[in-house]
Amino acid sequence: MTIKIQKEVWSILIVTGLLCVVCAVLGHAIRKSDPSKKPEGAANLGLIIVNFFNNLVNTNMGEEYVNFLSPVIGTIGMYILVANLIGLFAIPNPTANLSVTLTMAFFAWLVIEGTQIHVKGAKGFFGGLFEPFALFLPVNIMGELSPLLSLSMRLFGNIMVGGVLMQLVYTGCSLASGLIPFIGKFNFLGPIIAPVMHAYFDIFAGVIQMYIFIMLTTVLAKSKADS
Amino acid sequence: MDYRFLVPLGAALAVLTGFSTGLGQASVARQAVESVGKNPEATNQIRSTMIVGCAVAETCGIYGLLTAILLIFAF
Repeated sequence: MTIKIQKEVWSILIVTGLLCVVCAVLGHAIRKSDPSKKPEGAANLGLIIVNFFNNLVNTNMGEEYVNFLSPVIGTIGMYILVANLIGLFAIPNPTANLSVTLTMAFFAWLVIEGTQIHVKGAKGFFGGLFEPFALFLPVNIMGELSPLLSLSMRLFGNIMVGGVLMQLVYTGCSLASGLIPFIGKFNFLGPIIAPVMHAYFDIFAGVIQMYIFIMLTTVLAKSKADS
Repeated sequence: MDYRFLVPLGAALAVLTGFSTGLGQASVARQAVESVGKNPEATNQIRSTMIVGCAVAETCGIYGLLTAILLIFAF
């Protein structure tokens, strides 16, 4: 029996290892820095990252959720950002695999449901499934489960389609430059056309998708907990 | 008779949901541009609201893509 290893497995390991090293270095720098002075270098970068996620949770959900939810949201956001941007280094995007995006969406879903139970209490949460009357139970259960599908498929679809389109662009460029005699063997149209598409599909779409993911998680958690 | 040749056609029709999604997202962006022109001091709030609106409108197109992928890989 042979075990088929998907090509994204190695990039998942690379991204995870990279993030572990970066977080260890940043944490060491912050622990060593003097709180009474201005932060410098790596400690400054760490503070910027933490502040970004704290501000996002603060503006979308309110002051009381910052210590409770900001670490989870920050972990998800950092992993998705690095996983989207690593496609620039000729490593297959981990987020182009549905297992990875489904795992991320599962943790986001846990955040959404956990916030609801935290605010309403277990009785209020499970009683809310029978609103307005008992026949609505299947509809309400589908409504609770739908963020799992939509969050994971949005991220997966965007990143996977970006990769497929880049492959099409490279193939088309090599075909088009093959029409030219003598020098056609070298794909010289690719390096001219591809960087613009890389800037859009890898950098722009990657950053926007990460922002949308954590934004939707916080907004959904807040609106569902308040309703 | 083998009707497998209809699978790519069905996938292409499923991806056609992108048409309405594009129209909806364009209308979201147009309204956002108009409101930024009316009161520029609320730009940050308008931007974050617009991104959430775009993301929710995108869900429809994503479901079409999901259907197309399932059609191609399941048959």
